[in-house]
Amino acid sequence: MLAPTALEVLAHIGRYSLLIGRAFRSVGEWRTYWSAFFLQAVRIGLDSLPIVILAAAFSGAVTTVQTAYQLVSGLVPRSVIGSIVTESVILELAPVISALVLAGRVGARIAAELGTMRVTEQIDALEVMGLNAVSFLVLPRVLAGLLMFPVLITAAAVVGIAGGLLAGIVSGELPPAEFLLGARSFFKPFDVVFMLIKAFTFGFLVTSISCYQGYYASGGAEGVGRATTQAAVVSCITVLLADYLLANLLL
Amino acid sequence: MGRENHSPQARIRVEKLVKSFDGQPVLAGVDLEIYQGETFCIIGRSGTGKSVLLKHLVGLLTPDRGTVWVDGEDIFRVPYGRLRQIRRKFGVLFQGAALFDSLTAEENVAFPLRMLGDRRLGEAEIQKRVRRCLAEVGLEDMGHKYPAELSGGMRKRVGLARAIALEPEFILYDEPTSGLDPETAQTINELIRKLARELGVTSIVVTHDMHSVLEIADRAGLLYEGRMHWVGTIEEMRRSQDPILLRFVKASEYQL
Ligand SMILES: Nc1ncnc2c1ncn2[C@@H]1O[C@H](COP(=O)(O)OP(=O)(O)OP(=O)(O)O)[C@@H](O)[C@H]1O
Ligand SMILES: [Mg+2]
Repeated sequence: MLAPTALEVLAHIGRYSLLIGRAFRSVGEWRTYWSAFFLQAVRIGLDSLPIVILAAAFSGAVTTVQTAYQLVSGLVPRSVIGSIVTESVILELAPVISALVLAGRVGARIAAELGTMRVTEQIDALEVMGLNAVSFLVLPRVLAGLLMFPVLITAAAVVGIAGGLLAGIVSGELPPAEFLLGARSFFKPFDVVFMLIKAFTFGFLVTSISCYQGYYASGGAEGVGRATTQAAVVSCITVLLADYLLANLLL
Repeated sequence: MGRENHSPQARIRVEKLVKSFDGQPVLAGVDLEIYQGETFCIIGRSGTGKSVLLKHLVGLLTPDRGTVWVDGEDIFRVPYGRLRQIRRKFGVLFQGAALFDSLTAEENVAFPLRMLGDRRLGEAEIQKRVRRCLAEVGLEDMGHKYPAELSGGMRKRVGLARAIALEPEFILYDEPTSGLDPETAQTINELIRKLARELGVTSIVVTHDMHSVLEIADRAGLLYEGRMHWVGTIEEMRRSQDPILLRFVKASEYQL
């Protein structure tokens, strides 16, 4: 795949913004999409909970082991490891790793679903009935993302910290009491707020970008495949960019 | 709105419609008028843009130039909210049926009723209408099946049942009988005639099937090289000496 030119990227951003604008235009017609919203929320939540939890647990555990390895000098109290792990998990690992995993799972599924509806004229059928097909399809998915990403990422943070704690016990490097002491002494409530801001942002980006890719799919089964890959790739890149921007803006 | 310039009876008026895809011209200035209550057949070779023309009539595709008037309203100038209102006058049977594959046949037919029907429509009333629509197309026993479990012809009939669920004023059919056995095709042709006769529906039918044309059409038009090459009544068609029309009819192996 060739890298897109700057002009193409701009064209995509323009068309994407128009699509999202049109989706929110019929936000008042909740009757047409609220049941789809619940379905999507359950799917995003249940589909992805195991893999998100797994990724979080391991990243927390690895951070403990690695931090202990890096802080070999006896000058720093071992409880510092607990604070570093907790902060890393809340600020960066839980939101970003979960979002990347979700870009692959949720993003690809959304793009495949909408792309199939596009190439089999199901989207045309919705439009022709007099429905705002964009709202009908995009709104429930984006709203479900806004709701479920924070839930999943909060769960990931809890499990990630637990993973770190457990790794300390297993390796014998760090007793739980010291881990928790470190975790508590440097904890700032703003960290959690920052994590939730990231979660909302990533939830919006992954679901809306995947809807965009699926909605404008063309060219049969091959086109759906292309849209699915694009959804995962573009979501990942955007999540990483947004992660960097948010850190710059808010930290 | 320029309504007074138009023939008073024309309910749909296509005006110099031009559309190309990636520089490839498909429609090169189509003019067409459709009158209240008639059944109009659009014929033409595969790939001449019949489906593309049909999609312009409900604003699913936007023309490069020209426009479409429905009951005196330019559908490409009205705000989106109004376009949605205008679209509710239409039922469309797509070439590939376009059923929602996550819903059963019954749920497909019920979908427009639930989403857009009168809010006071109770579940019992919806079920009654769904059964009636499925019975019209001869599929009353297939309601619980998913589209993937139906044959191509059955899917098309479910698509038709869904198109008529909201009792539209216009029905657009994209090749309603292609891929059907002669007997089912005959049933569909009779249904198209019945809807036109009993409900006063105005129908536009895209078809390859000259037999259907003679069976159902009041008028027909041949789409050729991006234009309506020939338009006339069935009587006129029988007498026509137009070489391109004759060639198309001959190729369909059908004697007028
Ligand atoms: N969305 C699209 N993007 C690009 N090209 C298109 C699109 N839709 C149609 N075309 C092209 O327009 C031309 C006309 O297509 P159309 O589907 O209208 O043909 P048709 O007359 O309905 O043929 P058939 O009888 O086989 O259904 C074809 O060459 C097709 O490739
Ligand atoms: Mg066609």
